[in-house]
Amino acid sequence: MVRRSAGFVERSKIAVRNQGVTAAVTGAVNRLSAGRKLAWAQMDDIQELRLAAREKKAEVIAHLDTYLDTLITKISSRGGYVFQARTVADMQGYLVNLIRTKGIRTVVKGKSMVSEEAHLNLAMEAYGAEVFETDLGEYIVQLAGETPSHILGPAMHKTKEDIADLFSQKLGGPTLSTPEELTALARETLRRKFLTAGLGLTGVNLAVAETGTIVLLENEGNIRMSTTLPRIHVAVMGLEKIVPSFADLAVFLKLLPRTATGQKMPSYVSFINGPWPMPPGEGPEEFHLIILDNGRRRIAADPDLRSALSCIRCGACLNVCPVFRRLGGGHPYGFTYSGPIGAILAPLMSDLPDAAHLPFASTLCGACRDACPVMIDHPSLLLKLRYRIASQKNPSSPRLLTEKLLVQAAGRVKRHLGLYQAAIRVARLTRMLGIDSNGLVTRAGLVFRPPAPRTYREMKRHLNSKRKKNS
Amino acid sequence: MIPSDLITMFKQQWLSVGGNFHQAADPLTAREILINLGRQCHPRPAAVEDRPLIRQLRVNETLAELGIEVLSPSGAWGPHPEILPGAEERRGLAEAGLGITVADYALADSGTLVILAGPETRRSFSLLPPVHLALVPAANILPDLDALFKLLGQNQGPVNQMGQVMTFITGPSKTGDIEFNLVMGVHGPGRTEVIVTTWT
Repeated sequence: MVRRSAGFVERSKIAVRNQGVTAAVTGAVNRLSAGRKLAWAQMDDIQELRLAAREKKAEVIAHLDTYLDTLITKISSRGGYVFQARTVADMQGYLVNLIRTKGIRTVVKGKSMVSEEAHLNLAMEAYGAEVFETDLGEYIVQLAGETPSHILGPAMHKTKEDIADLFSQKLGGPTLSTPEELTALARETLRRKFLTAGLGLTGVNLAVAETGTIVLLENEGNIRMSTTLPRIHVAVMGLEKIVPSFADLAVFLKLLPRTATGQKMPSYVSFINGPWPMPPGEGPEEFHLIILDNGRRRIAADPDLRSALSCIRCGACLNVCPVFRRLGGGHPYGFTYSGPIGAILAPLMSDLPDAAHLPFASTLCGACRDACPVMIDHPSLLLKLRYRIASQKNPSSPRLLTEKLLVQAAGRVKRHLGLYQAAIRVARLTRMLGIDSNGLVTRAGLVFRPPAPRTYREMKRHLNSKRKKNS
Repeated sequence: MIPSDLITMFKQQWLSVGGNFHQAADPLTAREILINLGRQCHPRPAAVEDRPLIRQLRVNETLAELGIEVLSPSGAWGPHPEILPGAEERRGLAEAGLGITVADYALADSGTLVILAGPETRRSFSLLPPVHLALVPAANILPDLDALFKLLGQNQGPVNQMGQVMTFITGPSKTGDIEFNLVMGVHGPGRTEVIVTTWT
């Protein structure tokens, strides 16, 4: 087990030592969380909205094929192309074929986690297309040859000095110093790409089955560019992004920006109905929607865990997670989706050897559940996954047997007050090993918090006897 | 809600997201605001939609008097380089300093402009130039998202009313991707101006 999970453990050990990054990420997620809390506090009906969102999502997950059919029929009836990709390879294949047959040389991209999941950039580049991430954070991460560290703030682990050096190295020119100058350089560089690109690739925040509308939220305008200027627009989505009807949109449009960034409304929301006869430069002639399964149907068929598919990728659970911030963002997770929701999705969607370790990298504190706009109960899902992962192990392995015996012994001790108190007194001796300023003992590769000098009962007894003496 | 309350609420929200607000009780006032903005974008051309409210204000004539070239809505674009190899990039609109459009509705509660697609709508005019000016008749300010969705649900249904795309614009283009510093105008306009017209 230790061997199998060595990757994640090793990455984590290195990550927690990088205090610059953990501090930057902690600062950023704290601000995002504060924004969400404020925005939620200003809504009288936030709990009703969360309940409604959870219900809509449960409805879609329970009848996935019905809603998918409606969505596909609607879009096709207006001349849009829809492709259902069972695997990442299917998705890459469709896209690459499109790029080849249309002779596409330049692709501009809006932020899309599904495209990360399916490694679409690599696939397109392998066929000679130049691919440009156009969300500023994604662009920075792409130039650096990295992956996003947070769903919403892909470059939140980078300082402005890192970015200035990176831009000067990759784009040439002097090292800039202000965020304004850096942003202006990115605008200028990417504007030329928008004006020449043959294909715009974006994700999807919400897809309305009833009307065949896909909805995209953003602050920068790069998604509007990518869906307005090139002749072909390709949108990619996980099949769980569907909402039943147009009227349901209001619930999610109220919840998503408030939860993600604390905004009532982001700068831009685009409701796209597919191809339509428009003047050149005023919208694509061709619209393709690629819907990815990649294990999602399997999750939908799993009554214990299917609520994980309700996720609307707002990032709120990442922002409040003590593990995520100590790891300095999503990189150590080794999976496209990180934080509490990533720890649930990784073992369900991927066969990465590390994935089985992720559900254990949680304190189960429940902050994620309280921050989730669609009320996913992360701790209970994580526990179910832990149970499954543990059950798959060889029950006669010495490690598991030892663990079982220890738990049984602890149970017996805790059933008898005298025994328990005696055990506490013994455990208290570990305080003599030396306690650091955080109240922790660090010895022989172990880090633990020793029992307090006195238990509550002992303190209470002490106080009572003092009171008696005084009276 | 009475219209003047809706205007006040919209104004408050629009200012809070970083937009600039103007109100005009007659075409003359609106034209003065326009002249002021036009002067600031001179000598770059302006991209102007061809819609009744814009014709009524004689926007094109006003800009021409200031010596500002007005790009024709039908031919604002040069050839697309991936259609016509050799054209290095699209010209015309790429040079515009000001884009002028009409917003079909506005949402008071969030300070949002709502733009439906139609034969006269130009998505790129509110997107490419560094300054976007939108005209909104006061009567088209709705309280909130729910009111808009109710309206779109009527008549021929949401898709026919939205057209190819419905766009919400809530303030300037912005990013916080570099150490959470708010920077305006990352890809779209860094400056967004609204004139609410109150005449009928």
